[in-house]
Amino acid sequence: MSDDGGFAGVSLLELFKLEAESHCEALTQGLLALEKSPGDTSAVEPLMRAAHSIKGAARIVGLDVIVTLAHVMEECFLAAKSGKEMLSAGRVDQLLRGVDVLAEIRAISEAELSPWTASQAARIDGLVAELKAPVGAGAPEKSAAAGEAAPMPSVPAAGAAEAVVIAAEAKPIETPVAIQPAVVPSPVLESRSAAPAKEAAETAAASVRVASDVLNRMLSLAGESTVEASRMQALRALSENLRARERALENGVESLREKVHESRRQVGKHIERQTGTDPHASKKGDDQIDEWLASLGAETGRLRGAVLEHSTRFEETVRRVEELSGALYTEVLRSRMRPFSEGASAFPRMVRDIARQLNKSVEFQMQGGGVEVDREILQKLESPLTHMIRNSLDHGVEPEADRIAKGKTPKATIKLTARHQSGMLVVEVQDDGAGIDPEAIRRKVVERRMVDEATAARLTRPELMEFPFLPGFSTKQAVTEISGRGVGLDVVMSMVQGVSGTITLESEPGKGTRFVMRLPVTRSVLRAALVRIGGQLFAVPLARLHRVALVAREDVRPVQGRQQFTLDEQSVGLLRASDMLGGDEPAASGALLSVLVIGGRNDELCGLIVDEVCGEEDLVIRPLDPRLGTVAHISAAAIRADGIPVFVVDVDDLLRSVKQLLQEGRPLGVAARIAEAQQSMRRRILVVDDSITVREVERQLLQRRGYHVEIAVDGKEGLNALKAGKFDLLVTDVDMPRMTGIELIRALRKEARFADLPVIIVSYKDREEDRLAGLDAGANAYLTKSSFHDDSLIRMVEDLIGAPT
Amino acid sequence: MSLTPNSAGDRHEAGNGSAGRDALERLLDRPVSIADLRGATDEAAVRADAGESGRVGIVLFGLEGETLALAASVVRRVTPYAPPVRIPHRSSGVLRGMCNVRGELVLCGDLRRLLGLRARETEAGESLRTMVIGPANASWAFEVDSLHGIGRINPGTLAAAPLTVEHSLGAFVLGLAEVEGRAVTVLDGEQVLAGFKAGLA
Repeated sequence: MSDDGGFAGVSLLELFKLEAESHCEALTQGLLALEKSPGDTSAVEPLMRAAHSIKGAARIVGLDVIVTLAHVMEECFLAAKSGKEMLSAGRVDQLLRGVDVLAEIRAISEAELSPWTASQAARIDGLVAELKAPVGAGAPEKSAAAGEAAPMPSVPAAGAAEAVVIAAEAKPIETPVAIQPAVVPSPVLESRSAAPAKEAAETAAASVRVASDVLNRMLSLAGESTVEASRMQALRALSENLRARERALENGVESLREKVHESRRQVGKHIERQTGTDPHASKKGDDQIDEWLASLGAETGRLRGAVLEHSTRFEETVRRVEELSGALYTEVLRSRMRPFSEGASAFPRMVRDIARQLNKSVEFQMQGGGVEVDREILQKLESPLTHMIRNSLDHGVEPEADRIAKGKTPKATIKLTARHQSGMLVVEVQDDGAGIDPEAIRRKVVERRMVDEATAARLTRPELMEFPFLPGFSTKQAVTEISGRGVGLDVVMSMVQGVSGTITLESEPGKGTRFVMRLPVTRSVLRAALVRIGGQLFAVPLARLHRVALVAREDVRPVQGRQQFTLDEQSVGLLRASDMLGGDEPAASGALLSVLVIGGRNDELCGLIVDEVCGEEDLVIRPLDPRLGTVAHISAAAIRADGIPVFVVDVDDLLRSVKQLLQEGRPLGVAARIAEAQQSMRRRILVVDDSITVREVERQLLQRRGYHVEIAVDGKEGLNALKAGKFDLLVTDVDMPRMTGIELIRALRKEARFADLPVIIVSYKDREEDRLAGLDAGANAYLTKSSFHDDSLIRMVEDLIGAPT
Repeated sequence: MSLTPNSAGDRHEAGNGSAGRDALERLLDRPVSIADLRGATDEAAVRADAGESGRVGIVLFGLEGETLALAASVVRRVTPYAPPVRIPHRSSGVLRGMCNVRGELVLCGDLRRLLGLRARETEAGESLRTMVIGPANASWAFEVDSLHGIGRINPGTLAAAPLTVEHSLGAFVLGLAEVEGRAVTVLDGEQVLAGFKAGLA
């Protein structure tokens, strides 16, 4: 029951890391800003404070090396502030390396700490010495700095070796004439970065860290409070009821009074007639009754007042609580959103460092830093963005001399923009570099035997631009440190697809390249159509719904044994959604059928009859209970505003089943039956890969050989396909959204009927540990995607399951 | 503060002959707050640790006319009835579906079916509750007919289940106890959780 999200169990070192993290960010931003306007002594102040705070914190946790480092950094800032020393690019480099050391500590666990400090001592001492040595006065000091740094190459740490390279490069820039930072602020950035450190400090003060599961729980509770608030509506009826009863009581008292008067008159008349005496003789008893009646009347009057007041106040309270809980919910939801700049804070520094390393002159611009993005998306964006920017720096942007020769501005520009567009987050990385020649891609495609020459000749430009995202496709021959080794744009692609986004590449040879990513603004809220299927509510993501149609029963016709109707002159196969999702058979009522039309784009359209379409709602998505494993046709769950849980339909998976069912239902002609019979004798292979091209290459390769091939776009779909049909072999990729190949194989091996199913992994990853991980999960073979080019895939398939028939 | 729709105020209005019984019922049937439950659990836990009297808290509830109990330490919460929704392709047998308990989606099992209790007409005056047991990431919800409150038992003095207890039920029973003159079947929380889990396959 303990789910404490606070800092109670966090060690001092953890706290130090948290503190260092915020200071490191402030230091990096401040240093980059200072580099642009070295004379701005006011900007030094926050840096000094940051270094000082780190020093203090490091002392508390006993990190002496850090105390020393932070101290000399503080000294440097102090010198700059007092005007004793101008912070040159070389000095900024040193200081940034100091920040790097601080940043490294954040990734080190308590246990690793003392070996780390021991191994890094020499490097840090070297850095401290450099920082202590005066800079900017002239050549002698520089050589002194270099002299201090000289022993460092003997230090085994990789960081030290790199540091030396940068220090050597930094030399020419230190001469006053050459002070021209490699990265120059864009006008857009400049206005914002006047006092970035100060800004950062303010932001830091105004924000607190919250564990994401705490945030999720808050969201659950806020959601529940809106549900409870809406339940108060039901109590309103209770208060109405109270008022009605009070009115009935009042009427009762009134008619009692009338009855008493009436009977008294009659009794009086009777007595007069009978005895001749004055009926007013018994007045005393009447007086008492009148008194009772009067007080009863007064009491009901007071009751009326009280009931009225109660219901008025109650109404007010209900309204206020509803408003408040609604606002609370929205705010908690918003707290998941972070400004885009938060995920992009590392890029200015990265561009600067790499540009200097490559000896290129690059200006980095950012627009839309304030655009709000779900923190989950933001985290997932970091790595693909890093990759794309590195790619632009390395392959896109030309060296200064080349640019001048081409008549371009000597300084290249890399621009990162974020904006909201029709409910999506659009992120662009644009450079004005050399661009990509589509003809070069066309040649390469043929060369790599990805498609044949005739097909390649027909490929349009946008089609060609999809190839760089395929595994193993790289237009630059040399593997460089900057773009990394073996990691291609295909990884970027799979990351983007992992958050249900898309990415496209546009390029104008000689003018530049532009990556455009379209991503959902948030993964936690889904706009969905709520539909009733078999008496139960389901949510269908609106984005995946082609349209909703009302179809008259008489417009549904059986064609070749399957139900169809015509939509926009297109024939659409029709099935009952409850055939897939179960539930009670809906009573046939009404002349119109509610039909969800799914599919489209490259897929055939399919219609699903539902009981009714109940409307649209924004739903907060929650993952399915992991204990359930994969549930066919369902991707997630959510709780509706009225508190009822609903399942979110996995449209892709559903579409698959629908198509399968529609095909089964189709009676076949003679020729088709013969083909089918042959088909059924052939060995059946399932190919699972999220890249359409890889899938197609594998399909064609195997089909040409004579195997029957079916495809699935990710592990989850693959698993469902395997469960639904009979296959002799599985060929799968590893990195896929929703369910990886490894997860798929593990899931299969758990089931007795798949325990012996031969599995081949075909992956772009060629490291030994990846191979082992695949085989460990239960794959029979592990091939890399280069196996398309020779016949190793085919050979392996034949080894495992024999010839096609 | 029982504003919940399930606390059916109406039935407490009938007659004043059994006012004492009514008051007792109201007390026992009121929604149990988590704080109370936690408090009781803590108390029970402390006592067991201290070995003072060896008594542990149990939560008593009614199901198909039987009075059953589970250790307070496995009970996470008891809420007004949260109806489960069917999980496509999955809900069958012991797995009833998924329900919303205080904004949290919890798998919902069928305790009647698990214990092999015969369904019977629900008596008027029973107010269905949803009970959640087990640790946070492996909890299960199930429906009970009514909640009878909290009692204390000494686990050492539990009577063995008589042989007449059906075999299917026997596996889930820790033993029989008497709480305030009432015969109570104390269930083994771990076994119940394991039974629900087995129902997932």
